[in-house]
Amino acid sequence: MPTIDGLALDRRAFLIGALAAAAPTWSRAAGLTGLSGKRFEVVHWWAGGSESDAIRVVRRALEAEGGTWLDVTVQGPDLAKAAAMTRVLGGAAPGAMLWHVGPDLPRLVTDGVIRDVEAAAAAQGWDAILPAAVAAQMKVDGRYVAAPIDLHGANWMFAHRRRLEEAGAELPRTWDEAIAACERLRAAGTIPIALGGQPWQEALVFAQAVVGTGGADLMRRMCVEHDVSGDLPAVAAAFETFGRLRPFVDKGSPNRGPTDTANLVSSGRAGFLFTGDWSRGELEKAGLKAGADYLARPAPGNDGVFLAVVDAFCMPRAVSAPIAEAQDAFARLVMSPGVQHDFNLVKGSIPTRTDVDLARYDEGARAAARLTRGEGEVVASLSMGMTTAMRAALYEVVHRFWTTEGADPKRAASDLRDAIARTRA
Amino acid sequence: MRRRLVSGRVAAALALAPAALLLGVAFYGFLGWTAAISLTSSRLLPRADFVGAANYAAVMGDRRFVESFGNLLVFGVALVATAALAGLALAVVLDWLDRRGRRTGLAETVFLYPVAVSWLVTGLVWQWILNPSLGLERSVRAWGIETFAFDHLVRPGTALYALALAGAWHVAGMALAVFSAGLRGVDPDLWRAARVEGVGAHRVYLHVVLPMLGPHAMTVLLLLAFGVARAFDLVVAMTGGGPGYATDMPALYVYDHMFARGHLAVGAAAAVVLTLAAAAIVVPYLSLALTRRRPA
Amino acid sequence: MRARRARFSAGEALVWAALGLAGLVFLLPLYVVIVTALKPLAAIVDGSMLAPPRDWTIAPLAKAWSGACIGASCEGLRGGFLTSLRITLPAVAGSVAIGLVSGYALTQWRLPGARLAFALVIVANVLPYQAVLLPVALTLRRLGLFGTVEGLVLVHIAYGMPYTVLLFRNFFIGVPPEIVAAARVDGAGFWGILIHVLLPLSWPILAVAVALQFTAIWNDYLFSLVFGGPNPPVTVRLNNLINDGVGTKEYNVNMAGVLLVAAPALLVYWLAGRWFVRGLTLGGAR
Repeated sequence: MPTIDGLALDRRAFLIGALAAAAPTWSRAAGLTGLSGKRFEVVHWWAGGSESDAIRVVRRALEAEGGTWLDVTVQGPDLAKAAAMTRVLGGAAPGAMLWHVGPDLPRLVTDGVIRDVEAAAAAQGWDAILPAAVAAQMKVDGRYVAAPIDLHGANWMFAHRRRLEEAGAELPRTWDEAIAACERLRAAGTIPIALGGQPWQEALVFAQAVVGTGGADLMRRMCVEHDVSGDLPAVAAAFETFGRLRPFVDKGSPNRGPTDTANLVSSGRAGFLFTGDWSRGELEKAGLKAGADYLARPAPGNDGVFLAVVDAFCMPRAVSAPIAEAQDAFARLVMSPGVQHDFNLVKGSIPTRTDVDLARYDEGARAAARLTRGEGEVVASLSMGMTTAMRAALYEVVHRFWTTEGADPKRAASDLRDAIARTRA
Repeated sequence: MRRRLVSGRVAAALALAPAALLLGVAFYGFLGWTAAISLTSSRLLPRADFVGAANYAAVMGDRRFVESFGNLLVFGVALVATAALAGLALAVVLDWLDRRGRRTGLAETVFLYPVAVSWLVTGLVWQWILNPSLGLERSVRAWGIETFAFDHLVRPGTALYALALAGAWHVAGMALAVFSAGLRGVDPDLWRAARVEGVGAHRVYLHVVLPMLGPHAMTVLLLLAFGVARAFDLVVAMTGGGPGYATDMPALYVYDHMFARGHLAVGAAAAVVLTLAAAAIVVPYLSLALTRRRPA
Repeated sequence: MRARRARFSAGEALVWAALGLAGLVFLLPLYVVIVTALKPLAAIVDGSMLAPPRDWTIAPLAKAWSGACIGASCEGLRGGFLTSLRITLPAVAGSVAIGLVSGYALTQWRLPGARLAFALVIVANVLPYQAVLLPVALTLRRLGLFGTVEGLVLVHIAYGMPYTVLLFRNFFIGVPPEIVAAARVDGAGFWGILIHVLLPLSWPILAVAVALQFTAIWNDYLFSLVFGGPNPPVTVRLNNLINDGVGTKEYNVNMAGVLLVAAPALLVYWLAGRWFVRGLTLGGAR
């Protein structure tokens, strides 16, 4: 239906078609007998758009191995995880469930929910091909407990090129420059910043402000060591910077989802978008070209730092022996070079494997990959470094600060310290 | 005859068994189960330890939970009042037109159809209409009325009321139907007498008919209260509890802790508190319903 | 029927105008949904929400029905309709039957404890479902019904029942006791009275109960999501379709989906609508 979907989707459909045609070459190379003849249920939250396109890459790969894919799509990570857990409790554990890599994983292991995938990891030598910061978050007692499928960077800045030029603004390298640029955009009648007023979207920008004002070290103390009691002035400074962005957001912001938010930039109604690299796919899908129509670079003050978000498949323990065998094969499938290459090309992320050739990826993705392959510093993002409970407590502090005009950054900093301390246990 | 009555009562008691079983297990049994979980330290999975009332202390000491009850109260009162009054006004107007011999079937359908729409869809559609950058505000401004503002859903001070209005749209038809039923039950002789005496219709409604609708008003309040207790989907679809925590609700808090934060025990404690509070709301109706004799 | 046609007056014109205005407000969401479902995407992104379509297209409806990609499958909402029907029809029948029998037993047979039982039913109507999800999951597991159509039918019967009991109880309490007493004298028993005496009086309230239960169960999201299997009901698919994940937001396909999913419940209401007020008139509203 070209009249509805426009040219962009046609290109995408072509790309997917080409990938599908190419599929047998690499999937045969994977040679995974464990999936043959198995009905394998997968719970995930990749419901629509490029995410749906991407998960179908995995589905086709599984089917090429002779398995049958039983799809359980649940909208939104929270609900999807809850649905997967209820399934485990209900005695109908799926073959695999999608989870964010982070401190929830050890808890799932100690609670006896998931099993390790060390067999697949040893067979494919994951230690040698995963970034160390990612690998560290995926092991419990030295054993891998999930198969990582993608690697996202959470600290990017996108800008509408023409709006920026019309306003006489430059792509900022610091938050001070960003605020100056926002003022120019506003004077030119453009919404300076596209931001969706949902706690997790606000927290993404806050994390970028933490890196931009306090550096990767502050982010690591907050997000990995979970103690900012010695950094209150620095955290307050991050809140202050974050709060200075408040006037540059339009009033339609509250509860706006990420898609509508990205659309503000792709339609040229807003200038900046501070978010993760997953938004690149949306801008591309709207027909914008990197460099010509939109500009992308690390968020202000975030150069050289890669805030990692990793999605991974966990394998529930309570399954039959044949499915357990299929789980091992599925873990290897997820980490096979072919799936890693094709999945991430469609999704807009980069492969977790550092040995995948990126010739067909765009320059932005290649630049991101260079950061993870030794040229930059990989630091855990909020989703990778914090438990769900701690992250939710942080969201609450950040959300209250952002939505309260004139809120005190020092107070927010001490609230954040308390929230982290309270949820550390 | 006597034997018949006794065997009939036995049959009646047996006929109640399925309902009693479901009520005893699915409602009160499971609620007790959840209450038991609230006394443990369960996180992602239920655990069988005992931590006393610690989770209740945590919940009651949480500013967000306390505020969410205030929001529920404002939202509930606004929704119930709006829907009940709108339903009553429409029912009276339709009844009046009906008595003048006009066809009102189509109008009834128009006001009743939103009842068939789910809370989720109600929320999705109204969220879109009320969104200033996509919906009505943008459309009207495009007609050249640049100062038109319809942004109540995104302003902390008014968001609760915008939410209640959308909810009232969904349930007003229910109130209309119940009040219409009451108005149709009014003795035609009463109207005939009023016409003979030359009393104006508005005075008959105000002084005679409306006071007769007391039991119907009770029913409307009860049905709408059930609605408020289930309006979770509406809030999720329209505001997600925002802006800030302006439209946060206890049910959202329960959900957030049980599922998003993976803290079953705290969510269970909040659920028990919420259930007790909701039960407290229907107690006034209960005392009335249970002391009232059979209606004449 | 009730009155001769009265003369048209200025006051009445005013009342009609006010009614018309209220009607417009009530119809606005339906209008927006229909109009949006029939527009190409470009006309939505650039144009006004209220504008009627310039180029009509049913492509969004077709896509929502059978073409849209939801997760790893691209079959649209189509497959969910059968699941939803297989759940809704028996669950409506079950919960209405239990409500009918229980409402009758609670009112016409002067059972000890009937009032307390009714009080427990009323309180059950305000129970937040979030509070029982976990026990329900564990119980369904015991019964071997987790993730099955039968399991969801059972859940919907259980949680729909308090509402139907309330409806029928309030209906039957309005039935004059003399009717039942006379039947008893004639030798009718518990079931005989229900089937031969009361059921013929009850069809308007049955219509109300069926319409309300159909709507509630067809529209359910929470239970369907948590306890639905790999072939979930339409509401779950719809929410996945409309989801705010990554990708272009196809408002027209979303609204077409809303329209398709809402259609069966709207149809049931339209059919039952004639009996709706009538069913409540005959005592159900007290």
